[in-house]
Amino acid sequence: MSPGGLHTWFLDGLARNPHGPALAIHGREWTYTELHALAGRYADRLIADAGRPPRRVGILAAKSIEAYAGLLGALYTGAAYVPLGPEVPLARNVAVARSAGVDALITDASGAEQAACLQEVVRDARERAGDDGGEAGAGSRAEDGDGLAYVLFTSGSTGTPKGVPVSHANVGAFLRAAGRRYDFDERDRFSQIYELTFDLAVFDLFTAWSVGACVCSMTRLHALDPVRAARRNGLTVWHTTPSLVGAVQSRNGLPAGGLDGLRHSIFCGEALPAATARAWHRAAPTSTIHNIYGPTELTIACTAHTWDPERDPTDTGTVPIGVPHEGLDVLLLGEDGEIRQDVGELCVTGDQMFGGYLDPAADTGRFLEHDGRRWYRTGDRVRYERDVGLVHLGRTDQQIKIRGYRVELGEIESAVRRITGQDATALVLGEPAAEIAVFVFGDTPVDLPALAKRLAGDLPGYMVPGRLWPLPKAPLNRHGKIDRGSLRAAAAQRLDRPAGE
Amino acid sequence: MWDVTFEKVLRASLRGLPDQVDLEADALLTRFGLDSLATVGLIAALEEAYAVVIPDEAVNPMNFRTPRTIWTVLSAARGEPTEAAG
Repeated sequence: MSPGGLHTWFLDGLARNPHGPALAIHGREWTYTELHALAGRYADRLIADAGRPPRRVGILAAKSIEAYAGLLGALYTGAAYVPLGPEVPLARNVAVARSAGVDALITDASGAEQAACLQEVVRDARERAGDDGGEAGAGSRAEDGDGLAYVLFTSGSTGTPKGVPVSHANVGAFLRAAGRRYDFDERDRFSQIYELTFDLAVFDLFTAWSVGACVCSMTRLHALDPVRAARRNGLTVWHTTPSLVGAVQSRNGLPAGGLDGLRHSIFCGEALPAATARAWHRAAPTSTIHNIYGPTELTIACTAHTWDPERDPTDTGTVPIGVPHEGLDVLLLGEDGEIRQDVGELCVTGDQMFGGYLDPAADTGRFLEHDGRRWYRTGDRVRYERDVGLVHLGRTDQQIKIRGYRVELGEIESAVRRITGQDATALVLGEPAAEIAVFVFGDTPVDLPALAKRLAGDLPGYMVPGRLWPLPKAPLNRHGKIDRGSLRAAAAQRLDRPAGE
Repeated sequence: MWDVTFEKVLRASLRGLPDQVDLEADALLTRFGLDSLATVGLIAALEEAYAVVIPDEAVNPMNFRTPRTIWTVLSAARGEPTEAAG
């Protein structure tokens, strides 16, 4: 076991609050002592089953007691855990498990259907390990004693999942930064809404457990009624994507003062529209709103901003992503490859930066060598402002050329948010005869001709969308983010054209 | 199997079910527009109409697939034995 491993943050909570609740799930609460004992039994079973400590434990389970105790148990054995969503297609789970070198498996009832196929992957990994003396995972750079805490897979714009190994040192750096930033203590009760395949779940579990607080596991159905969920669970900390709040708003689920028990509300995973922050603030007037930002490669979150309701400084219609965590350095990379002071692609280095993708080929183009250090290129365009820090402008891969002009979809979305106060997603359709379409989300009727006129006045001609479509609510993917693929399909349907990139 | 209130509350959550079409006990409700948002609204409406609390552990998509499964959850929340299928 590596010193300072991720599980030791749970042990801190155990020492602080042994008889207090660590996990509330399915109508029952598990104390720290109970959860620790159950995790210990999983660890023993994992080792007994393989005849030696496993290296990569697949967690083929929904957010169940088996999943939570199982991932802790995996960490107790010194292994890294690899979450495999039972609702994820089998072929993807098999590909993920193979490339991560999964050599042990924890399942619950929801994983039963896929378990047999994944046990084959486990058997193969063990046979290979037996053959070559401990190495597992073809093409993997991971070695024994590599200090990994978990391996997550990001979709990637190409659709091929990329394995992101995150070390105990990476998560430890994140948790120390979180410890300095928040005043969480053992009386807090955290929402746990994110799927375990998303690293924001690690935020919920381990920032809570490190201080002896309680993690309240809930499904999407619970999360869509935050007032009810907060009241039933006595929540003090809320953490979701902004899009989930948008969905709640669309059913008028945010009455003023309805969330007055919350102390902290944390939003992450995508841009936080200022209108969403305002709506949440009306419902949760005593809660501080935090907008945090970070790709999986930089371990959960690497910048943070505390929203000030009195002040709404950005012209993007979104809340700033703020300042980097202590221990991280950032720079802005211009399109010409020069370092900029104002606007550019955000590059980050420091102790939260991962060591590189599971498949080293995926590293190509993702790192910058500068000043004798290696920097991760986030693919996010940001602007630096002296008083608020960083403001997110959009993705570099959403910069598209139309008729030779550089079009920034994020800028179009910002303009729509600014004019309507509602969230929006812009897409480019039907290349080569490119056309920009914008979906405006929300139940409030949008005056489309007036919006079109304002946009024509605010944006350069080549960026004015040809199609404006209102949509009562944004389609969300399984991580609670806006699902651009299904918007693309909806757009194609409206135009009666086949969907496609 | 169920009462008038149940039928009324459930129908109000099903945008895609015309008034003249019967509500069948085993009809998959996603077909009539019962997505996760509508389900959340339905739960709140049932709790209000029957003055009961549906426990969090019962709030699970599997329990809100068909009129029959919803009636079973509601009956349990009301402390009544579940009626036999029929």
